[in-house]
Amino acid sequence: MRRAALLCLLASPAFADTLATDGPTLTTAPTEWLGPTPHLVIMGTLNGHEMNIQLTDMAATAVAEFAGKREYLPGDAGAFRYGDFEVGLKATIGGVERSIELEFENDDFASVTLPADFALGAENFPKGNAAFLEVSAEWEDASGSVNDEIGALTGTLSLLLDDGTPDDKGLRADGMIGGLVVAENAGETLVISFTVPVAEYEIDD
Amino acid sequence: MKSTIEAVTALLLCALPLAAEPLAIAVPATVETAGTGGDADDPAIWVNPADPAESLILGTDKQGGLFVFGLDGAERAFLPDGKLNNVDIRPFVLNGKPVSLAGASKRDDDTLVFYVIDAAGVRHASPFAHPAIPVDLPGVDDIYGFAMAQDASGTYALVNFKSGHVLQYRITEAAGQISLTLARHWIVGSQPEGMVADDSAGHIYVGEEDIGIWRFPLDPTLAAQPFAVDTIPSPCLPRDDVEGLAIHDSPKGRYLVASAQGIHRAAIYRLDGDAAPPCVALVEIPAGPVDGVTETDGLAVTSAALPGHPEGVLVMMDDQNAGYTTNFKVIDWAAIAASLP
Repeated sequence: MRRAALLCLLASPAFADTLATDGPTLTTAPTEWLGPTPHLVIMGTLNGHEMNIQLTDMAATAVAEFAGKREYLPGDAGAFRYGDFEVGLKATIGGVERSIELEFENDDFASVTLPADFALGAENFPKGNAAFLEVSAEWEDASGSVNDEIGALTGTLSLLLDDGTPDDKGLRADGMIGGLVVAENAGETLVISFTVPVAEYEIDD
Repeated sequence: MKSTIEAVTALLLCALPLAAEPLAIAVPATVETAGTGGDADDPAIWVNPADPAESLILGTDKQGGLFVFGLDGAERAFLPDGKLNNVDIRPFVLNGKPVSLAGASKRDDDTLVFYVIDAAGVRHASPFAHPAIPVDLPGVDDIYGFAMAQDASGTYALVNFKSGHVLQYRITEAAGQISLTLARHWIVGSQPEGMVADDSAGHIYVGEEDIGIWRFPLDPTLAAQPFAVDTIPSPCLPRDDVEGLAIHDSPKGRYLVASAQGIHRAAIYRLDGDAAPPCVALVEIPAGPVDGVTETDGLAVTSAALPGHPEGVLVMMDDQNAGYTTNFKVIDWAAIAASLP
């Protein structure tokens, strides 16, 4: 294969691809958060991939892992800022093992009283009611490999749930995080409702 | 933003006329190692001089330690030694006996750790861990890439840091104890990782992940004057990252192999002394007897003849493997070489 053709192939999004879970119950994207029971619903389009992921039974065999992680950043006087949380899914969708990760950033999510709306934008770790969202999607199937990292989506994150038990540092490695995302990127729209159990935290030094 | 830039770059590249370009080669892997539950990164190949069939593949898991695999891919051992990033191997003499010495960069505590390898297996060297950041060298931070080198003046550990620093330590041994002495240091402009020494040519190659590949003299008495081998974007590195680097050295030809992670390919540069190395091929590892290779971090090659592989093997980390694991794929070098221009 010649170089130009190779690069065009590598750069082309898979517009015909559709990620759909079995037995979807929603026919349109949610307009409200779907509640505190662990779930992940992603509907819309991401980098050419049609998404109709409706996972409400996280004990299903198709779900290998569904977990959240908080990331804390060094703050003033030995304190920490709650700068990042991740929602990670590893599940078999359409017969293919797929990994999807949502990563949200703010200067300090703990500084905002919930429920709260955050404007999504391009700035990393923005202050106040703003957030940065990156969506990562990876899988490998007969047509090749997908490694998408779509950052700086615009839109809104409505954060409605973020609880857990602080340890002796005041950091939380448990509880739940839940909310609704209505996002846009390059003319595509993506709606995400999630409630994820938190399994760990990490201190980014 | 990154995806937008990549899309624009790709469109521009697609619009370019065809020029002298690397050959596209596709060679499936023949064997894969067992999956690592953590996050595999960098392999190294130990060739058993007495019995090549009993050679080993070492593989770092940057969440937990060092895997040891046989050439069949089966796990022989796991040493839970921490967040090991890169690993490399050189022949060494310990207590007057020839062995192999493997070293690795450890991210938990910015140390270099060493292993002794012989027919008995892989074991900790003594001392095992060595601080990698000198107390009198400010600004060095966050250990990352690692390689080893060897020339007439000695054996070296090369370690780089996310701060851009590259440190060259001389490794010496007395009464079975190894020690490190800083021989030289320099700095590159941004985060490096992959490194390899071309011992016979006296070169060190350093990958700057978002920038390209540099060459430096191996001799620590010389200034670390950089020579640009390739720069992103280029036909072989159209996008970042540059990751693992390795040297295939045989009478048939000498090559630098680089992981072009952003396009899931191994870029092959032909080496000829001090001349600028042209990139001659991009190697894809598609699905075959085992699944394909994607998003490779580290890689390693050997030109030593191994069972079924008369010209050696290329080993590449694979980021997407069944069961949400990562692992290492083994590719026959002769199958690659047969297509090289």
